[in-house]
Amino acid sequence: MTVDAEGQTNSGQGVETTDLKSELRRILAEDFKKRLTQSELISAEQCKRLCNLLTEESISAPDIVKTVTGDEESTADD
Amino acid sequence: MTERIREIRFSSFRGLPDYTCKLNGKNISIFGGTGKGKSAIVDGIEFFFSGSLCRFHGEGSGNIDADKAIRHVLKEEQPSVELAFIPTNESVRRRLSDYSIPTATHSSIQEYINQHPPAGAFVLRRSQLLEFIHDQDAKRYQKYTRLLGLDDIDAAQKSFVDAEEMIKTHHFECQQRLSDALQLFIDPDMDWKPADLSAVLTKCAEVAQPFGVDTLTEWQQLDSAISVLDTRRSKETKQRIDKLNLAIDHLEVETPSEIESIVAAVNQLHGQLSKMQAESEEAVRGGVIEEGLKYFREHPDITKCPLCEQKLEEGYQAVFERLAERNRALGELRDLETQRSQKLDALITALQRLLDQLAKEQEQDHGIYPEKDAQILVKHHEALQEWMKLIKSVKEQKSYKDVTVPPVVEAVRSIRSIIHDSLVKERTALIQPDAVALEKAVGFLQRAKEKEPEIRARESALADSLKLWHAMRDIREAFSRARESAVQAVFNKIAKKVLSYYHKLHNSDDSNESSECTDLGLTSTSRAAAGGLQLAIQFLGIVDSYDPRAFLSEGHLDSLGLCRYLATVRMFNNSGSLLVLDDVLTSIDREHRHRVAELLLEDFSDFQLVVTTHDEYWFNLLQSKVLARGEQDKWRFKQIAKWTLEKGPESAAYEGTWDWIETNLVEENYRELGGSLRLMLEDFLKRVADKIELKVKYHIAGKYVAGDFNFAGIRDELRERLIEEAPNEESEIQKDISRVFGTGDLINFLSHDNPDRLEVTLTETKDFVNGLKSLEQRCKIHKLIKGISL
Repeated sequence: MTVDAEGQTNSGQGVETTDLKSELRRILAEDFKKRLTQSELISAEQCKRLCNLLTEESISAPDIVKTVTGDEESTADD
Repeated sequence: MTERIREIRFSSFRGLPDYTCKLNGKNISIFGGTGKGKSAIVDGIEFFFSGSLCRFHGEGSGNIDADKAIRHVLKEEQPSVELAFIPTNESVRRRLSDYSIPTATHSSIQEYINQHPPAGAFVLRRSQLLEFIHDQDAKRYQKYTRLLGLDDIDAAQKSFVDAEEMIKTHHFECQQRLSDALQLFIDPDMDWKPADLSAVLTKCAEVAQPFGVDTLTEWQQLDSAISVLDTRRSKETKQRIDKLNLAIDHLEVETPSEIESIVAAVNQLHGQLSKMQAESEEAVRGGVIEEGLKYFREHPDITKCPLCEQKLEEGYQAVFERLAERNRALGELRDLETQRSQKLDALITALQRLLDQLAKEQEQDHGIYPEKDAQILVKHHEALQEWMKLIKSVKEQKSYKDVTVPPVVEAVRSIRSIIHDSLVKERTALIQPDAVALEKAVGFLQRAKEKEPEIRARESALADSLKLWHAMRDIREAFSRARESAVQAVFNKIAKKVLSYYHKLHNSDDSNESSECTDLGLTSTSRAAAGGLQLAIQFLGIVDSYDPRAFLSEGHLDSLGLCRYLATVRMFNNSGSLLVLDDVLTSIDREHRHRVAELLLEDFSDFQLVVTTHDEYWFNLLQSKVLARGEQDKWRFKQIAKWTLEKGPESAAYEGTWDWIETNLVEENYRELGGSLRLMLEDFLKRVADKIELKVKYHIAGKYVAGDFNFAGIRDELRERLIEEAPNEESEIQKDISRVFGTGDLINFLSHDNPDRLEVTLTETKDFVNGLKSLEQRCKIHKLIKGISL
């Protein structure tokens, strides 16, 4: 999934339409960041990496694990 | 989008053998009775964009031959629908044999086509009005899946759940590793098992205390405790006993015991998989089906199979649903495959542990093991390495043949046991009876010293893994909650739009009407990850969160369905795209149709609308609203008078003729309009005469001309009737009557076949045209004219 930083707005002959797809991703990204920040178990660096991860085209479980551990090697391979 | 549709050309398509529907880039309202070909025009639009007609496919379509249904019954030619555009003068045609919409030369037209969603998202038919209301929660959710890109978000959600599962599994592995390391300190005689490293230290202090070690509370004190015990040992034997202790400790670590049970589980899975493979030829195509599903999700508009390149006989949705059903059926097979893969991974891990264990024991042998046994161990190690290769190849090849545990696995256990017993025997022989407790204490402390760093590392890894698990749980929870809240926020926005449209239709101060539906919610259900969307209304501000079907009348449900559709179009479809409404106002009463017209004209002015109806009132109403707003240049109103199998729809004469007149009402051409103007006038007079039941002189051939009606007094009769209907408009009515009837033989003047014709000015002609139009409009408003005639 790709999360745009800002929702896109189109205007057509005075009738305003909002790109809900982008808006959904923007709300999701903001809320996710807010909730991560509230957790005492998640560092600022992890939070930053996880928020960046949401901008990727697709997110796999091993990618998430790598992002959280900060390792290139997956934890499962330890 | 800058392009608009100029005209739609149908060829051999359903009931349209050779027909052109002209829009000139405007909106169009098409009126015609049942069976006049209106829906075929809508079908043509759907066909152009999707290559098929969805109602001929899937559930409820019976044995319809979709291709046959698209063809004109009398025509052999290939059915086609062609869109011609404006301002770019290009047309794009789609034939039945085309797998996809032909590519347009101009990028603006290609962009126009590409930016249209699937036809179901901009073509609404009457039968689909209540679809969303009657849908199951899961189906409703699916309708917004593509629009909101929920597939991606739900896939990400699953990845977060899987990531937590991976980290949780890692934590349990760490727990097991620690437990394995502590296993060496189990004292079966005292039924004692350490819970952690500090328990081992406590036990060290306990066993050393009888031999003069008073303080042993820190790991740093362990060396000095061992030294204290060492001074009491026999100098002759202690070195050998220490070596034996080390070797015995290693040999007491059990070899992986799960190898046999894993192999049994693998073989059981192989049996099941072989059976399923034999029973279902399609089973092996599971991967292909998955790929197919993924492909269809990503290419919702394709009409050609990506594998065989044949045209898909069914529409995308039907194929997708069939694949999804097949995919579900193959779920068990895939689960078994996954289980098999996991079991083989577990077997490889266990085998590797055994190999590592043997390698370490060989490394630390230093001549302690009997030579012959040591050689046997080396050979067993090599044999196990070969078996490891075999297991890995079984996993790679996806072979379902039975796996056999080679005898070497048991032989390793056996030889280790023999070596262990032999070493224990030797150690026992070296220890004097009065030194047994001392040597046992020494052995314990030495073992603790050797294992302390490893156990400490495993405890640290366990603590880290627990912390990581809890962090991951917070992350998964954060994403899950953020997803729920974001999806809900968007659905709230959609619900708000639907409600605002619904209130536009049902809240009115003029008629003292207030909406029955006072609030509306679209709520992601708790099953949202699997996809669920609940539709609920608040009824008259009293009953909250209830299924609308429980309270709303059929008419209100229809308008709710219409509002939901229109709100979705407004919020998701591109400005400038098509919106096709096929006879969707049947069960909505007159007053509410007024408001639907206003809603369309106000909120969808940036769309190109195609509105069909068999309801003359709605047709006229929309037309009068357009006129009242001065937007007649943005609309075309087309009446289909009749339909024949051979010719298809035929427009009411005057409708097409008005276009001709308007186009040619210019200085260069207006002199050519005599025939058309006569046709229009006579058409008008006939329909008025019919409606007001004017007594006209009977003609056996049925050919009536303007003079017949004039002679019968239509001018006075019409004037009186109109003034009676609208007395305050008398002067305007008088003016219109004189513009039409007071111009003498204007039409004759314009006619070619009048040898004595005189010059008529453009202004006079325009005055006549405007008068006739105005009179006709007045007659329509006061129901003094029949609807359609040729």
